[in-house]
Amino acid sequence: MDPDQELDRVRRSQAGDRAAFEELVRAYARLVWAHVYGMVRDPAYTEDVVQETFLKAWRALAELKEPGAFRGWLFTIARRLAWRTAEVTGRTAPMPEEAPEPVAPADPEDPEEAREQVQGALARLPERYRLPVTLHFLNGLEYEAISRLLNMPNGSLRGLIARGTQKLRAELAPWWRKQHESA
Amino acid sequence: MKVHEDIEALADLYVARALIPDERAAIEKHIEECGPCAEKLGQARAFATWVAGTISPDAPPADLEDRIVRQLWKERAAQPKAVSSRAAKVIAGLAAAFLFVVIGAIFTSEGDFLPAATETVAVQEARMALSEGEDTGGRYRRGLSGVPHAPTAPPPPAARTPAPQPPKPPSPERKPEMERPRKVEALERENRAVAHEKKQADRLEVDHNETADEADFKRSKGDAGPGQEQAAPRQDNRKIIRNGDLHLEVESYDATYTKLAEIVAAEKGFVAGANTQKLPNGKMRATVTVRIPPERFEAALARFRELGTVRNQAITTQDVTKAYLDLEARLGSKQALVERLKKILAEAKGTVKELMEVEVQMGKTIEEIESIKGELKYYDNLVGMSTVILHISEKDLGLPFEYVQTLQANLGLTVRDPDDVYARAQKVVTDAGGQVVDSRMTRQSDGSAQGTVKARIDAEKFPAVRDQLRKLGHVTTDTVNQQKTARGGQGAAKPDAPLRKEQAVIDITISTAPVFVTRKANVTIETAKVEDAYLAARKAVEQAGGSIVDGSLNDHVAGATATVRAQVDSEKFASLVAAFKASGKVKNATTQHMVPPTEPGGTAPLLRERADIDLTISSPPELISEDEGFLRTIRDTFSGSVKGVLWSIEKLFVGISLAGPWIALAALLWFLVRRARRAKAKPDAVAK
Repeated sequence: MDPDQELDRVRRSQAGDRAAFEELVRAYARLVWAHVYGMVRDPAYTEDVVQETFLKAWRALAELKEPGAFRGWLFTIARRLAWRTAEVTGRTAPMPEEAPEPVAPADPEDPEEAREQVQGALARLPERYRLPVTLHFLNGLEYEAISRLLNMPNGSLRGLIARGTQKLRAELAPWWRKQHESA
Repeated sequence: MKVHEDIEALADLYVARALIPDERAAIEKHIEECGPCAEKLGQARAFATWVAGTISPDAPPADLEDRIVRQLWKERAAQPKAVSSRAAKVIAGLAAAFLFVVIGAIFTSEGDFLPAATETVAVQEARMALSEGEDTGGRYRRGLSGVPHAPTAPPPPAARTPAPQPPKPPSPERKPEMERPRKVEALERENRAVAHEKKQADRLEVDHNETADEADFKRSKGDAGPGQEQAAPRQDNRKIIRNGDLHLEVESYDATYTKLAEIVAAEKGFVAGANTQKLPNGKMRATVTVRIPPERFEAALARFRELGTVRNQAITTQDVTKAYLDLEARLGSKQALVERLKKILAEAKGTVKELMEVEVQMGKTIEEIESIKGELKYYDNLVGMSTVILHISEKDLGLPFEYVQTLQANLGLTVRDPDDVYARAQKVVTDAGGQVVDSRMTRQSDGSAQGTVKARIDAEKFPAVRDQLRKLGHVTTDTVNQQKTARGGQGAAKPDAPLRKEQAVIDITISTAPVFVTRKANVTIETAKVEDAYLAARKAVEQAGGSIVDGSLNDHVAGATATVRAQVDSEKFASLVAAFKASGKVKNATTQHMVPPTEPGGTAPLLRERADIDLTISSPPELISEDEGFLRTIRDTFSGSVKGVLWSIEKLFVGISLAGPWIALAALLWFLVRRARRAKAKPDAVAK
């Protein structure tokens, strides 16, 4: 959705147009999802937070003074809800930036352990890398779609994806190698 | 593009489909030739597959959007709020606060609420009036600049004492004034100074006010008061205004006035005015204004004092010499100004605008000259003839001049026939030549009536009328109030003052004799035909001329009951009771006989004797009464539970109204606390 379209849909939604808001939901649901997942790292919680985010956005849309800032505003709502969810459920806020001492995998065959490792590595990525990488690997989106979603038409996104993937690979090397070798 | 060098990054991008077709082709071409690079690409693809596969349980559902949308409209998300909820809360809070304030104000101050506001306005107005009053110096400013003095601005301190250079208001309207010829302005400044001096001279007046006793005392010792002292050495060129104020008490005004006129004529003065007033007691009061030549002032005053007893005297002396001279000086300067302006006009030098201005100035100056001349004339008049104001009153002015005797009687009568007595009482009054001022009759539902007659009658005929009225019925109250008061002044009138008898006022109250129950009966009979007996009893009461106060007939499954409560005259009591007893099997019968109390005097009061009869009729009881058994238990239980439900509903509402406000308050507090805690928690989360 390009900025002009977005502006139009936001304005119509503010006037109470449900169809317009549905378009916005469909356009940004996965983006918000990826954003929240990076903080919460749990698919069920993530979906709840995303749900709550759009509900809240719809209710408070009239409060949005600058329709152009819809996306950032949506992220703010999502972020607050994610924090609150983490607070309520006792989950800690985002992972520490530093990677933990790489420990040898206890059981490389265990998919559960591998999943936790991937989760952790994703969470430790700086946010600007995390969002495109998450969108790519978790939502299975290809470059074109991510570029449109993040509104990054030029090549800067390429750098983010390349760098993000490399960081991820570096962190996950022990697990992936074992898996790879055993495969 | 250096494919081989950048293969690490390019491989990932290739896998992510982030490359344009040309780049893809270049890589595909390169890996066919370069083994390590093909290996790298394979690893990248494998890594991507592995990551995606490993994390796939976390992947969002394919129908994520649909689920969100569905949930969105299903949930309580009705419409987006038009007003922000926070703003609405704030507004609601303020409205509630305002409501409470209004209620509080109404309850605490009631009527004072609004008057308090108007009082403030009044105070403000008074303050404004005061500030304008203080601003006497503003007169000069206004006259000069033509700028209206703004009433809202507080007067500048300099304006309180007339300064030669009052602060100029920074108004654009002042600008034309600045362009006026300097000469004119200089002249005006001069005039202003003169006017200021005159004002001060006005304040130099000498007030002398002494009581008659003081004056007498001083005269007897040959010591002249300050007023006389100033007057005696009258310098030729001084301008002194002398005024006298004399309060005299005399035997007869007419005689005094004749003498007064003689004195005035002898002293070459004249009577300027006289204002007389005759009071109801025949006494005179007068104010006479006399003008006397100043040189004769003292002599005339002394002679006036001999006319009667001096109650009070006041002599005021006002030296207007300075003011007078100032006026003359101003007159001179203004006249000189007019001459100069005339000359300017005659020479006709300068622009038309300037000449116009000169013309305007000249008109103004001439006007001022006329005003000054008038003021001088006024002073000349005051100085030329002194004014003496004589307040003359005859002796015993304040004494009452007559006695008034008033008679007021209250007569209360109880009678058997109020209507008849009401008419006869009025006839007694009119036959005696009196008049009925007010009469009314009210009738109660129980057959009693009350009439009141207010009558006026000549005092001489009062005793006879009273005796006649007393015979009309049984007297319950009889009071006569006679008063003698002096009228027309204070204190006791002279013994020979006439006595005036006013018409006597009689208030007659006629009321029906009170009812007294002398006999009472309670009869209970039992008969199979309850209804017949009930109807028969009612009929019997009506035939006896009595009234049924209460009657009821209940027909139960188990049996019928009826009650009749009747009131009859005492004479019919015995026969009626006998009739009741005959209508069935007597179960119970009691009769009572009461003796009316006597009045304190031992006389029997006038009473309407009455008898009350309570009759209860019931059918003979059946073998098993309905009041026992299974049905009754059910009925009682049911009615008990209904009562219980009603009781609990009542208590529930009481509870809600008691606890409701506190619950609301607690909810509000909880909401605020939660909000505050969340606001505190947020920065922490950001820091993390």
